[in-house]
Amino acid sequence: MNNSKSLFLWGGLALVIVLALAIGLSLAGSKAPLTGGELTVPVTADDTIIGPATAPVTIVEYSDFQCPACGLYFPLVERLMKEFPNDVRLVYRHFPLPQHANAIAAASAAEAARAQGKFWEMYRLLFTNQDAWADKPADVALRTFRGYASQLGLDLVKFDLDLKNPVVLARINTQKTGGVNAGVDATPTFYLNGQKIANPSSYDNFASLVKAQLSH
Amino acid sequence: MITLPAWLRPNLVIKTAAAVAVMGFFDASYLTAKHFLGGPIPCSIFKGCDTVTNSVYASIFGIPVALLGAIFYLTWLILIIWYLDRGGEAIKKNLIWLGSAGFLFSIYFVGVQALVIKAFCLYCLISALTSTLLFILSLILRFRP
Repeated sequence: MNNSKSLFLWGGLALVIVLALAIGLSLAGSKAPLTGGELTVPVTADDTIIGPATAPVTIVEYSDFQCPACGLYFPLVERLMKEFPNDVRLVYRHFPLPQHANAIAAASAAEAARAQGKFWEMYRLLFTNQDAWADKPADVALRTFRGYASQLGLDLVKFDLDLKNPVVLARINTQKTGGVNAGVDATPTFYLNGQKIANPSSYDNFASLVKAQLSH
Repeated sequence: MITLPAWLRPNLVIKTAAAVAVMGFFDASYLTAKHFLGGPIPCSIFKGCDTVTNSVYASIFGIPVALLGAIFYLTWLILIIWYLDRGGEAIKKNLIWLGSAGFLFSIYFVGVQALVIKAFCLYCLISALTSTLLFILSLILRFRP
């Protein structure tokens, strides 16, 4: 038996296993480092913003109401807003993906609600009830959105008009294009004070990134 | 005929299989780590990973398919290294069973992605490709004169 050959073979296997673990752990990572991408479209008054204008931390989220991952991050972001009421403001930008058939309609519903000052209320309803409309036919989804609108006490005539308003669609597309130009290729994508972050794997992870910004 | 360097020639097929199994193992390990440690897999422009890896088909009896995949490739590697180290024609000839099982699973999962979920996951497709290659290599190992 050739001992150095055995050592080479089995050692190689051990190395492969260790490497796979290391790669898996670092990619899937418990840490979410800043990844260097910069926000190319600056936050302006035209953006959809919640939280104090003086907040030291601005989170820009490129998101799609029909994306399951966005739905899973929604409670994390809500909790951040609640636990850092003076320190965090959130900017929501549309990034509807082509594989989500109702994503643009949902974005339009949020924009139509925004026209009546209820964007964030609609945003919460859309994410909280994502399962109720996400994979439904377009007409069912639309009926569901109108249901939310009336639940929020919106003027339904205006809501319907805004849904079809080309300005609404243009706004959605402009936001998406801004994201594409910045290199956004998946949702949700978060920017913390203008720096793209790898998606945090937990609330604590997210909160620690915010705290790191606060201690700068 | 391409002439290969002498050190590469013996057991070329099985060494290729080892390389493919290493690729598959990295791929499956990544998906497994993602499953246990990562947050939700984001929805990508290159559609699909979210829908596929978050779907009910991503686990069998509660065991994530990605983990089964990692074990599958690791088994391949252990058997190949055993063979390269200690020899054993039986191992070489019977790798076809492992190869066939992986191939059938891959057909099933690609089918589920194409027909049921109607979305593809890149890393899952890479795995289907590596297990198909392993199947072909195991056929060669078995039937090559």
